[in-house]
Amino acid sequence: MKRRILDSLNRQKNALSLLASLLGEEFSYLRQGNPQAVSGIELSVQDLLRQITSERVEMKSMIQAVAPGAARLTAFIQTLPEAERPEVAALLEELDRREQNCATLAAKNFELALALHDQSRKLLTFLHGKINPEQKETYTARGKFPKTKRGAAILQGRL
Amino acid sequence: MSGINNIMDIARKGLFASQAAIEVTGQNISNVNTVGYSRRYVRLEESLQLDYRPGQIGMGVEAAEVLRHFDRFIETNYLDKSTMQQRYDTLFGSLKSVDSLLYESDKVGGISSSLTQFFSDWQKLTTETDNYAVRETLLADTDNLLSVIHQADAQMTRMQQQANEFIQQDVNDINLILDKIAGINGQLKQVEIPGQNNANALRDDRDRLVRELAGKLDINVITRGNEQDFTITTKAGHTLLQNDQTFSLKFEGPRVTSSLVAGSTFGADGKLYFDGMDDFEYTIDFVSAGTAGSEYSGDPATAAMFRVSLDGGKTWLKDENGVELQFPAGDEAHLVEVRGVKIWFGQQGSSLTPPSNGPEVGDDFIVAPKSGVYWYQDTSTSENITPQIYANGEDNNRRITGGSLAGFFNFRDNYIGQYRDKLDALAKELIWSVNSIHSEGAGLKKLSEATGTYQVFDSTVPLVNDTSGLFFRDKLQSGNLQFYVYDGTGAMVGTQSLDFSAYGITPGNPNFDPENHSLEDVRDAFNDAFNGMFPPPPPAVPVQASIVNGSLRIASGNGHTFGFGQDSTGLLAGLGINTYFSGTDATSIEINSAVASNTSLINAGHYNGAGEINKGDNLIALDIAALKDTKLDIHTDFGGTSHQTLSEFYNALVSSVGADTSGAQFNFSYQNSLAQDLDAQQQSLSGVNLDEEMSNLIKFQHSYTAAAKLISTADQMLQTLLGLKP
Repeated sequence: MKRRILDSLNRQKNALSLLASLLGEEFSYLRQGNPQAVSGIELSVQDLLRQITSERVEMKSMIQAVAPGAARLTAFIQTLPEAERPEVAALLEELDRREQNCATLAAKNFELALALHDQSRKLLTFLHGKINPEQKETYTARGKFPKTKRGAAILQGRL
Repeated sequence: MSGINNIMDIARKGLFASQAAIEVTGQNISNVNTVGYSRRYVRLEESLQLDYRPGQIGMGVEAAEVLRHFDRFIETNYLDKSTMQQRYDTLFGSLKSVDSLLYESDKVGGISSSLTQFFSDWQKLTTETDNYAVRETLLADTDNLLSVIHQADAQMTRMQQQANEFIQQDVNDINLILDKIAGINGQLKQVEIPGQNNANALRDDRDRLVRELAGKLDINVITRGNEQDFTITTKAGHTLLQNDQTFSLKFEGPRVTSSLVAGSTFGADGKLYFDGMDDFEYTIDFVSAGTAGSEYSGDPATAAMFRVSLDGGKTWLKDENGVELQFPAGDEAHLVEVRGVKIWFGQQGSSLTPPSNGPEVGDDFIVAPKSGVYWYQDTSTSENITPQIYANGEDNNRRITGGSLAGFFNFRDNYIGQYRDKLDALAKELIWSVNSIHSEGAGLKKLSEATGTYQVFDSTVPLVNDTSGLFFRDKLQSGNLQFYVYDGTGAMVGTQSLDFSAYGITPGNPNFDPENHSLEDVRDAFNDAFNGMFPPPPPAVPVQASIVNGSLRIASGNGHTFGFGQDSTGLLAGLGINTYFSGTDATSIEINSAVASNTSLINAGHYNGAGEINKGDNLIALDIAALKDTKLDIHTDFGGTSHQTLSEFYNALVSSVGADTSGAQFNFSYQNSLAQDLDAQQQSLSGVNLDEEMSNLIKFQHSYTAAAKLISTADQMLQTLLGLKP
C-alpha cells in the first residue's frame, strides 16, 4: 500500500510537470492571439486536472487505510521508517513547488486572457456607443417622446 | 443640358473616376509592404442633377477625395499598451543584466561563498590564534570578499551610468520627433483642404512618428475630431506639442524646488543647499519651527525639525525601531547628512550665511540629488517629470509612467537604487557587527597608536546629534569602556574606565552618554584618565588623545603601549578605533589600514581582568565566527528592518532580483500581447489586403470599360443622328 501511495505521489509530480508545460503552451497561444489553439489546450488542461484530482481522492483513501483517521500526508510520513522519511518529505516539497509554479502560470494565463477579453469588450462598447443614437429623448414626427431601446437593434430606429 | 453630349460627359467623368480608383488601388498594391502605410480609397460622389424631363438627370460621378482607412480609437488604445510594453521591455532587458551579475556573484568566488569563507577563516583562527599564515589567509580572503562586493557595486553603478546615457539619447530623440511632427503639422496646414485634398502620406508619417514617440514616453493624442487640430500631451497632462508648436524636455542635473506655506517668511532670503548624490528624490517637510534666533543651531531642542520622504511624501524615513526620523535644520556649520547627502540652509546669495528667517511648519522642499527629466513650459519655467514609484509600488501619475524613459528611470532609481541600498545595508551590518566585537579584543601585540576611521563634522555637539555627522551615531549607547596602559617594559601601568562626570550636562555620572557627550568630551575623558595613571610629574606624552581631521587619535610616547577591553558604549567601533573594517557601505568598505598592514593587529583574543593577553585566547575570533549563524537586525529605508543572518539577507537580495526580472518579463509579455492584438485590429482596417485590392482592381477596370463603352455608345448615337436624311 505504501508503495502505491509513493507511486501516486510520483505520478502527481510528473502530472504537475506536464500541467506546467501545458499552461506554458497555453500562454504562448494567448500571446499569439490564437483562441482556437487556446480552447484545444484548455480541454487538455481540464482533463489533466480531473485526473490529478481523482489520483488524489484515491491516494487519500489509501492513506486512511495505512493510517486510519489521518487526513494529511504528514500523518502518512510518520508511519514510514525513519530512514525513508527525508526522501518522501523531499518529494512532497517538490510537489508543492511544482503546484505553486502551476498556480503562478495559471494566474498569468488568467490575467492575460481577462485583459484580452476586456480589451475586446472595450472596443465593442465603443462601437456600440457609436452606433447608438447619442440623444435618447427626442420627439418623433408625431410630436411625442418615443420609448427607445437602450441597446442597438437591427430593426428599430428613428428613421 | 441633357443630351448626347451629357452622356459623353458622364462617360468622361466615369472614366476619370475609375482611373483615379485604379490609381489608388495601384498605390495600395505597391505599398503592401510599406511599414506604417494606411490603405486608401477614393470617395466617389454623385455629380450635380439637372432638372429635366422626365425628371432629374444626373451628370455622372465625381472622384471627391482620397481617404485612408485608419481608426483613431484603436490607435489611441494601441499607444497606451505599446508605451507600457516598451517600459517593461526596457526594464526586463536591463534587469536581466543585474540578474546575471548577481547570479555570477552567487557562484564560487562570489559574495555568498566569500562571506562563508570569511567566517570560516575566523573559525580557523580560533584554533591557531598566533599562526601568521592563518592570519594572512584571513586577510587575503577578506580582500577577496571586499573585492566582489566592490565589483558588484561598481557594476551596478556602471549600469546606472549606462541608463543615464540611454535616457539622454531618448530625450534627444523625443525632442527630434516632436520637431518632426510639428513640421508635418505645418505642412498639413498648407496642403490639406478638408473634404477635398487630404495629405494621407503626411498623416501616415505623423502616426508613425507618434507611435515612435509613445515608445519613449506615455502620451495622449488629442484631435478633437479634427486631424488638423493635433495636440500631444504626456499622460499627466504636460503639453508636448500643439499643432506646429513644440515644448521641449531636458535631462538635467540635481536641483531643489521649494513649496512654502502661505505666510512663510523663509523665502525672503533663505535657500536649501545640498551636497552629494542619491538614487531617490527627497521630500523635506518641516514638522516644527525653530526658536527665534536659534533655528540653525543644529540643536534638536531649539532648531526647526524636518522629516524626509523618499517617495514624494507617501512614507517617511524611519529608524531601525520604526520611529520616524526627524532632523534639525542647520546652517553650513551645523549641516546634517541624510543617506549620504549633506543638507543645510543658507542665504540665496551665500551658502555660508544663515537665512534671516526660519522655515515654518509645512514648508516643503524637494531635493533631487540626481539627474532627471524636466518639462519646459517656456525657457524659464520647468517641471520635474522624472518617473517616480511610491513605496507601495504605485507610479506617481503626475510624472512620466510609460515608454522606455520610464523603464530606464525605474531601473536606474528604483530597482538598482534598492539593490545598492541592500548591498550597502549588508556591508554596513558586516562592518558594524565585526567591528563592535573586534574593537573589544586584543591582537598579538599591544597598540602604540590608534586613529579612528570615522569622522565628525562638529566635535562640539553630542555625538548622537545628526549634526555631529558620525556615521554610526545611532549605534552608540550609554555605558563605559575599559582600557589598559603598559610601560616600555610591557608591564601594566594601569587599567581604567573613562570618567565623564566632569563633562556634559549630567555631572557626577562617570558613564558616557551619547545624548550629552561630544567627541571633545571623549578626547578630554581619555586624556584625564591617561594623566591620572601617571603621578606628577608625568613622563612626557605617555599616552595622549587628540582630534585630527574630525577623528579621535590616541598615541603613546616613551615606549608606552595600550589596549582596549570591554566597551558597552560602542564608542570604539563607532569611532573606528581598534576595528577590523573601515568604511560605511559597499563602495567604501575596506580592511582597517592598520590591520591590513600588520596581521598581528587582528584581534583573536582579549585582555583578561589582569590586563594580560593569554596565548591561545580565541574569545573574539569565536564571537566573530559565530556571526555566520547569528540573526542580525539589518535595516534598509525601503525594506525596513529584517532579522536575518548576513548570508540569508544576501540570498534574499539575489532572489528579489530574480523575482523582479521575472515580473518584468511577464509584464512585458502581457502588455505586448495586448498591443499586438490592437495592432492586428488596426492592420485589419488599414493594412493592405492584396485579395481585396485585386477584386477592387477588377471592379474598377470593369467600370472603366463600361464608361469607355458608354462613349462608343454615345458616339454611335451621334452617328445615327448625323446619318439621318431629310
